[in-house]
Amino acid sequence: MSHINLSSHAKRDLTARATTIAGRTYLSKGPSTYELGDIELAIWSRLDGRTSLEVIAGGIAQDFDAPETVIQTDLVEFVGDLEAQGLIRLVGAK
Amino acid sequence: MVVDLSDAAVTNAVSRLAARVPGALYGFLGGSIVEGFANTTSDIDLLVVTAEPLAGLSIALGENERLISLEDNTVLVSWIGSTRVDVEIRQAKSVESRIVILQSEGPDAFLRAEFSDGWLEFFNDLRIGIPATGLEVLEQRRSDIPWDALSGLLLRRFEFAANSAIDDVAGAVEAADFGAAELSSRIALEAGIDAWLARNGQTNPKSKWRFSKLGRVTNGDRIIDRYWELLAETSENARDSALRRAEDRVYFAQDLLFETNSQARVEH
Repeated sequence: MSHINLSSHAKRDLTARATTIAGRTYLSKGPSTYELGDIELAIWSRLDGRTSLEVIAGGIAQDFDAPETVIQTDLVEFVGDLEAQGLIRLVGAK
Repeated sequence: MVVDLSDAAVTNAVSRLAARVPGALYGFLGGSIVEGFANTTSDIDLLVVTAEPLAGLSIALGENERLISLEDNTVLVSWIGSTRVDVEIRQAKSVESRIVILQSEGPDAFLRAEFSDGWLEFFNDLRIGIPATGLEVLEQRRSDIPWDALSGLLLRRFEFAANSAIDDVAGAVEAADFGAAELSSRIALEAGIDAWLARNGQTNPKSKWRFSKLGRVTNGDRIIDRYWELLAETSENARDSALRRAEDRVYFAQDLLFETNSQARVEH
Protein backbone atom coordinates (compact mmCIF):
# COMPACT_ATOMS: atom_id res chain seq x y z
CA MET A 1 0.00 0.00 0.00
CA SER A 2 1.31 3.46 -0.92
CA HIS A 3 2.58 5.64 1.91
CA ILE A 4 0.99 8.63 0.17
CA ASN A 5 -2.59 9.43 1.04
CA LEU A 6 -4.93 12.41 1.09
CA SER A 7 -3.60 13.66 4.41
CA SER A 8 -0.04 13.79 3.03
CA HIS A 9 1.76 17.06 2.40
CA ALA A 10 4.22 17.35 -0.46
CA LYS A 11 6.47 20.15 -1.59
CA ARG A 12 8.14 20.77 -4.89
CA ASP A 13 11.85 20.18 -5.22
CA LEU A 14 13.40 23.64 -5.50
CA THR A 15 15.57 22.70 -8.46
CA ALA A 16 12.72 21.21 -10.51
CA ARG A 17 11.53 23.60 -13.22
CA ALA A 18 8.40 23.71 -15.32
CA THR A 19 8.90 24.83 -18.91
CA THR A 20 6.77 25.01 -22.01
CA ILE A 21 8.16 23.66 -25.26
CA ALA A 22 6.08 23.64 -28.43
CA GLY A 23 2.87 23.97 -26.46
CA ARG A 24 3.65 21.11 -24.08
CA THR A 25 4.61 21.56 -20.47
CA TYR A 26 7.46 19.63 -18.93
CA LEU A 27 8.97 19.35 -15.49
CA SER A 28 12.69 18.99 -15.52
CA LYS A 29 15.29 18.31 -12.92
CA GLY A 30 18.77 17.69 -14.21
CA PRO A 31 18.59 15.43 -17.26
CA SER A 32 15.18 13.92 -16.46
CA THR A 33 11.90 15.36 -17.74
CA TYR A 34 8.25 14.63 -17.00
CA GLU A 35 5.39 15.86 -19.16
CA LEU A 36 2.48 17.60 -17.44
CA GLY A 37 -1.13 18.02 -18.50
CA ASP A 38 -3.19 21.04 -17.46
CA ILE A 39 -4.55 19.42 -14.29
CA GLU A 40 -1.14 18.08 -13.34
CA LEU A 41 0.39 21.53 -13.80
CA ALA A 42 -2.31 23.00 -11.54
CA ILE A 43 -1.54 20.34 -8.93
CA TRP A 44 2.20 20.95 -9.23
CA SER A 45 1.83 24.67 -8.59
CA ARG A 46 -0.07 23.95 -5.33
CA LEU A 47 2.43 21.53 -3.80
CA ASP A 48 3.77 23.92 -1.18
CA GLY A 49 4.25 21.51 1.72
CA ARG A 50 1.54 23.20 3.75
CA THR A 51 -1.60 22.27 1.88
CA SER A 52 -2.78 18.67 2.23
CA LEU A 53 -3.45 16.60 -0.87
CA GLU A 54 -7.10 16.45 0.17
CA VAL A 55 -7.42 20.24 0.11
CA ILE A 56 -5.54 20.43 -3.19
CA ALA A 57 -7.85 17.80 -4.69
CA GLY A 58 -10.90 19.81 -3.56
CA GLY A 59 -9.58 22.96 -5.24
CA ILE A 60 -8.68 21.17 -8.45
CA ALA A 61 -12.06 19.42 -8.64
CA GLN A 62 -13.75 22.79 -8.31
CA ASP A 63 -11.51 24.60 -10.81
CA PHE A 64 -11.78 21.86 -13.43
CA ASP A 65 -15.39 20.92 -12.67
CA ALA A 66 -14.44 17.28 -12.15
CA PRO A 67 -15.64 14.61 -9.64
CA GLU A 68 -13.60 15.01 -6.46
CA THR A 69 -13.19 11.27 -5.88
CA VAL A 70 -11.64 10.81 -9.31
CA ILE A 71 -9.30 13.75 -8.78
CA GLN A 72 -8.29 12.40 -5.36
CA THR A 73 -7.30 9.02 -6.81
CA ASP A 74 -5.41 10.55 -9.72
CA LEU A 75 -3.69 13.08 -7.50
CA VAL A 76 -2.33 10.49 -5.09
CA GLU A 77 -1.03 8.46 -8.03
CA PHE A 78 0.50 11.54 -9.67
CA VAL A 79 2.24 12.62 -6.46
CA GLY A 80 3.60 9.08 -6.12
CA ASP A 81 5.08 9.36 -9.62
CA LEU A 82 6.63 12.73 -8.79
CA GLU A 83 8.17 11.32 -5.66
CA ALA A 84 9.61 8.39 -7.58
CA GLN A 85 11.19 10.88 -10.01
CA GLY A 86 12.65 12.92 -7.12
CA LEU A 87 10.56 15.94 -8.09
CA ILE A 88 8.78 16.37 -4.75
CA ARG A 89 9.39 15.60 -1.12
CA LEU A 90 6.84 14.52 1.44
CA VAL A 91 6.84 16.61 4.57
CA GLY A 92 5.10 16.55 7.92
CA ALA A 93 1.88 18.55 8.14
CA LYS A 94 2.50 22.28 8.82
CA MET B 1 6.90 69.74 -7.28
CA VAL B 2 8.32 67.56 -10.04
CA VAL B 3 10.30 69.52 -12.66
CA ASP B 4 8.29 70.36 -15.76
CA LEU B 5 10.43 69.36 -18.72
CA SER B 6 8.18 71.24 -21.14
CA ASP B 7 8.86 74.54 -19.38
CA ALA B 8 10.70 76.80 -21.87
CA ALA B 9 13.19 77.96 -19.23
CA VAL B 10 14.11 74.34 -18.47
CA THR B 11 14.29 73.41 -22.15
CA ASN B 12 16.59 76.33 -22.92
CA ALA B 13 18.86 75.58 -19.97
CA VAL B 14 19.07 71.92 -21.02
CA SER B 15 19.99 72.92 -24.60
CA ARG B 16 22.75 75.20 -23.28
CA LEU B 17 24.14 72.39 -21.14
CA ALA B 18 24.16 69.97 -24.08
CA ALA B 19 25.94 72.55 -26.24
CA ARG B 20 28.78 72.74 -23.72
CA VAL B 21 29.80 69.14 -24.38
CA PRO B 22 32.60 69.15 -27.00
CA GLY B 23 31.73 67.13 -30.10
CA ALA B 24 28.12 66.55 -29.03
CA LEU B 25 26.29 64.56 -31.73
CA TYR B 26 22.96 64.10 -30.01
CA GLY B 27 21.41 64.41 -26.59
CA PHE B 28 18.19 63.47 -24.86
CA LEU B 29 16.48 63.68 -21.52
CA GLY B 30 15.97 60.39 -19.70
CA GLY B 31 15.67 59.04 -16.18
CA SER B 32 12.80 59.01 -13.73
CA ILE B 33 11.14 62.25 -14.82
CA VAL B 34 10.77 61.09 -18.40
CA GLU B 35 9.82 57.60 -17.26
CA GLY B 36 7.04 59.00 -15.08
CA PHE B 37 8.47 57.69 -11.78
CA ALA B 38 9.74 61.03 -10.47
CA ASN B 39 9.09 62.72 -7.15
CA THR B 40 10.01 66.14 -5.79
CA THR B 41 13.61 65.13 -5.10
CA SER B 42 14.25 63.72 -8.57
CA ASP B 43 17.03 65.27 -10.61
CA ILE B 44 17.15 65.81 -14.35
CA ASP B 45 19.12 63.29 -16.42
CA LEU B 46 20.54 64.61 -19.67
CA LEU B 47 22.41 62.11 -21.81
CA VAL B 48 24.81 63.38 -24.43
CA VAL B 49 26.71 61.29 -26.97
CA THR B 50 29.92 62.81 -28.24
CA ALA B 51 32.26 62.07 -31.12
CA GLU B 52 35.20 63.00 -28.87
CA PRO B 53 37.11 60.52 -26.71
CA LEU B 54 36.13 60.85 -23.04
CA ALA B 55 39.73 60.84 -21.83
CA GLY B 56 40.83 64.43 -21.64
CA LEU B 57 37.34 65.80 -22.23
CA SER B 58 37.49 69.43 -21.22
CA ILE B 59 34.48 71.43 -20.08
CA ALA B 60 34.77 74.81 -18.37
CA LEU B 61 33.02 74.42 -15.04
CA GLY B 62 30.72 77.01 -13.53
CA GLU B 63 29.99 77.58 -9.87
CA ASN B 64 28.94 74.40 -7.99
CA GLU B 65 29.60 72.24 -11.04
CA ARG B 66 31.70 69.07 -11.03
CA LEU B 67 33.03 66.75 -13.71
CA ILE B 68 33.28 63.10 -12.69
CA SER B 69 35.13 60.56 -14.84
CA LEU B 70 33.77 57.03 -14.54
CA GLU B 71 34.81 53.82 -16.23
CA ASP B 72 32.91 54.27 -19.47
CA ASN B 73 31.21 57.63 -19.12
CA THR B 74 31.78 61.09 -17.74
CA VAL B 75 29.21 62.99 -15.71
CA LEU B 76 28.90 66.75 -15.52
CA VAL B 77 26.96 67.63 -12.39
CA SER B 78 25.21 70.96 -12.89
CA TRP B 79 22.13 72.82 -11.70
CA ILE B 80 19.07 74.49 -13.16
CA GLY B 81 17.90 76.66 -10.30
CA SER B 82 17.74 74.32 -7.34
CA THR B 83 17.34 71.18 -9.46
CA ARG B 84 20.38 69.03 -10.01
CA VAL B 85 21.17 68.00 -13.56
CA ASP B 86 23.39 65.01 -14.29
CA VAL B 87 24.79 65.30 -17.79
CA GLU B 88 25.92 61.77 -18.63
CA ILE B 89 28.37 61.87 -21.51
CA ARG B 90 29.16 58.75 -23.54
CA GLN B 91 31.33 58.27 -26.57
CA ALA B 92 29.61 57.57 -29.91
CA LYS B 93 32.11 54.81 -30.72
CA SER B 94 31.10 52.91 -27.56
CA VAL B 95 27.39 53.26 -28.34
CA GLU B 96 27.85 52.12 -31.92
CA SER B 97 29.96 49.08 -31.02
CA ARG B 98 27.17 47.88 -28.72
CA ILE B 99 24.56 48.38 -31.42
CA VAL B 100 26.68 46.18 -33.72
CA ILE B 101 26.84 43.46 -31.05
CA LEU B 102 23.07 43.61 -30.61
CA GLN B 103 22.52 43.41 -34.35
CA SER B 104 24.81 40.41 -34.75
CA GLU B 105 24.24 38.44 -31.53
CA GLY B 106 20.79 39.54 -30.39
CA PRO B 107 19.68 38.31 -26.94
CA ASP B 108 22.60 35.82 -26.89
CA ALA B 109 24.80 38.75 -25.84
CA PHE B 110 23.09 38.75 -22.44
CA LEU B 111 26.22 37.84 -20.48
CA ARG B 112 28.60 40.16 -22.32
CA ALA B 113 30.33 42.74 -20.16
CA GLU B 114 29.51 45.44 -22.74
CA PHE B 115 25.93 45.40 -21.46
CA SER B 116 26.48 46.51 -17.91
CA ASP B 117 23.56 47.87 -15.89
CA GLY B 118 24.71 51.40 -16.76
CA TRP B 119 24.60 50.67 -20.47
CA LEU B 120 21.21 48.98 -20.21
CA GLU B 121 19.90 52.08 -18.46
CA PHE B 122 21.42 54.22 -21.21
CA PHE B 123 19.67 52.23 -23.94
CA ASN B 124 16.38 52.38 -22.05
CA ASP B 125 16.78 56.15 -21.85
CA LEU B 126 17.64 56.28 -25.53
CA ARG B 127 14.40 54.41 -26.28
CA ILE B 128 12.11 56.63 -24.21
CA GLY B 129 14.14 59.86 -24.10
CA ILE B 130 12.98 63.34 -25.06
CA PRO B 131 15.28 64.78 -27.75
CA ALA B 132 17.39 67.73 -26.58
CA THR B 133 19.84 68.18 -29.42
CA GLY B 134 20.89 66.49 -32.70
CA LEU B 135 17.42 65.13 -33.45
CA GLU B 136 18.33 63.71 -36.86
CA VAL B 137 21.29 61.65 -35.58
CA LEU B 138 19.27 60.56 -32.56
CA GLU B 139 16.47 59.26 -34.76
CA GLN B 140 18.99 57.43 -36.94
CA ARG B 141 20.53 55.70 -33.91
CA ARG B 142 17.10 54.75 -32.63
CA SER B 143 16.24 53.15 -35.93
CA ASP B 144 19.56 51.23 -35.93
CA ILE B 145 18.81 49.48 -32.66
CA PRO B 146 17.01 46.10 -32.70
CA TRP B 147 14.77 46.85 -29.72
CA ASP B 148 13.31 43.34 -29.57
CA ALA B 149 16.83 41.98 -29.22
CA LEU B 150 17.51 44.39 -26.37
CA SER B 151 14.32 43.34 -24.57
CA GLY B 152 15.26 39.71 -25.13
CA LEU B 153 18.74 40.31 -23.75
CA LEU B 154 17.28 41.86 -20.62
CA LEU B 155 14.86 38.96 -20.21
CA ARG B 156 17.64 36.38 -20.58
CA ARG B 157 19.80 38.29 -18.11
CA PHE B 158 17.09 38.23 -15.44
CA GLU B 159 16.14 34.60 -16.11
CA PHE B 160 19.78 33.61 -15.73
CA ALA B 161 20.08 35.55 -12.46
CA ALA B 162 16.87 34.01 -11.10
CA ASN B 163 17.85 30.45 -11.99
CA SER B 164 21.34 30.86 -10.51
CA ALA B 165 19.85 32.21 -7.29
CA ILE B 166 17.28 29.39 -7.17
CA ASP B 167 20.12 26.85 -7.27
CA ASP B 168 21.81 28.74 -4.44
CA VAL B 169 18.60 28.66 -2.38
CA ALA B 170 18.19 24.92 -2.95
CA GLY B 171 21.70 24.32 -1.63
CA ALA B 172 21.21 26.65 1.32
CA VAL B 173 17.90 25.06 2.32
CA GLU B 174 19.46 21.61 2.09
CA ALA B 175 22.27 22.76 4.38
CA ALA B 176 19.82 24.62 6.68
CA ASP B 177 21.87 27.77 6.07
CA PHE B 178 19.13 30.29 6.87
CA GLY B 179 21.26 33.36 6.09
CA ALA B 180 22.23 32.26 2.59
CA ALA B 181 18.67 31.03 1.98
CA GLU B 182 17.24 34.39 3.03
CA LEU B 183 19.57 36.47 0.86
CA SER B 184 19.59 34.19 -2.19
CA SER B 185 15.82 33.81 -2.14
CA ARG B 186 15.40 37.59 -2.25
CA ILE B 187 17.61 37.68 -5.35
CA ALA B 188 15.65 34.82 -6.93
CA LEU B 189 12.33 36.51 -6.22
CA GLU B 190 13.43 39.91 -7.52
CA ALA B 191 15.09 38.54 -10.65
CA GLY B 192 11.98 36.44 -11.33
CA ILE B 193 9.80 39.54 -11.13
CA ASP B 194 12.25 41.51 -13.29
CA ALA B 195 12.14 38.76 -15.94
CA TRP B 196 8.35 38.90 -15.89
CA LEU B 197 8.48 42.70 -16.22
CA ALA B 198 10.95 42.51 -19.11
CA ARG B 199 8.66 40.03 -20.85
CA ASN B 200 5.84 42.52 -20.39
CA GLY B 201 7.70 45.37 -22.07
CA GLN B 202 9.42 47.08 -19.13
CA THR B 203 13.00 47.73 -20.23
CA ASN B 204 14.09 50.00 -17.40
CA PRO B 205 16.54 47.76 -15.53
CA LYS B 206 16.62 49.84 -12.33
CA SER B 207 15.46 47.75 -9.41
CA LYS B 208 14.29 50.70 -7.32
CA TRP B 209 11.38 51.20 -9.72
CA ARG B 210 10.19 47.58 -9.50
CA PHE B 211 6.92 48.41 -7.73
CA SER B 212 6.25 51.37 -10.05
CA LYS B 213 6.84 49.18 -13.07
CA LEU B 214 4.52 46.47 -11.72
CA GLY B 215 1.89 49.14 -11.18
CA ARG B 216 1.78 50.03 -14.86
CA VAL B 217 1.66 46.50 -16.27
CA THR B 218 -1.56 44.58 -16.77
CA ASN B 219 -1.94 42.01 -13.97
CA GLY B 220 0.97 43.61 -12.11
CA ASP B 221 -1.21 44.17 -9.03
CA ARG B 222 -1.45 40.48 -8.19
CA ILE B 223 2.35 40.32 -8.27
CA ILE B 224 2.72 43.43 -6.13
CA ASP B 225 0.58 41.87 -3.38
CA ARG B 226 2.49 38.59 -3.33
CA TYR B 227 5.89 40.33 -3.64
CA TRP B 228 5.10 42.53 -0.66
CA GLU B 229 3.95 39.53 1.35
CA LEU B 230 7.12 37.60 0.54
CA LEU B 231 9.37 40.55 1.41
CA ALA B 232 7.79 41.07 4.80
CA GLU B 233 9.63 39.80 7.83
CA THR B 234 7.85 37.49 10.24
CA SER B 235 7.75 38.69 13.81
CA GLU B 236 8.50 35.41 15.56
CA ASN B 237 11.18 32.80 15.06
CA ALA B 238 12.59 34.76 12.13
CA ARG B 239 15.53 32.39 11.76
CA ASP B 240 13.40 29.28 11.96
CA SER B 241 11.00 30.58 9.36
CA ALA B 242 13.74 31.78 7.00
CA LEU B 243 14.05 28.46 5.18
CA ARG B 244 10.28 28.21 4.75
CA ARG B 245 10.13 31.77 3.45
CA ALA B 246 13.04 31.10 1.08
CA GLU B 247 11.13 28.17 -0.41
CA ASP B 248 8.00 30.29 -0.85
CA ARG B 249 10.01 32.96 -2.65
CA VAL B 250 11.54 30.39 -4.96
CA TYR B 251 8.14 28.86 -5.73
CA PHE B 252 6.80 32.27 -6.68
CA ALA B 253 9.90 33.11 -8.74
CA GLN B 254 9.55 29.78 -10.55
CA ASP B 255 5.88 30.43 -11.24
CA LEU B 256 6.78 33.80 -12.77
CA LEU B 257 9.60 32.30 -14.84
CA PHE B 258 7.22 29.61 -16.09
CA GLU B 259 4.67 32.26 -17.04
CA THR B 260 7.37 34.34 -18.73
CA ASN B 261 8.70 31.34 -20.59
CA SER B 262 5.22 30.27 -21.71
CA GLN B 263 4.39 33.76 -23.03
CA ALA B 264 7.66 33.92 -24.93
CA ARG B 265 7.17 30.51 -26.50
CA VAL B 266 3.60 31.23 -27.56
CA GLU B 267 4.46 34.51 -29.23
CA HIS B 268 7.59 33.36 -31.02
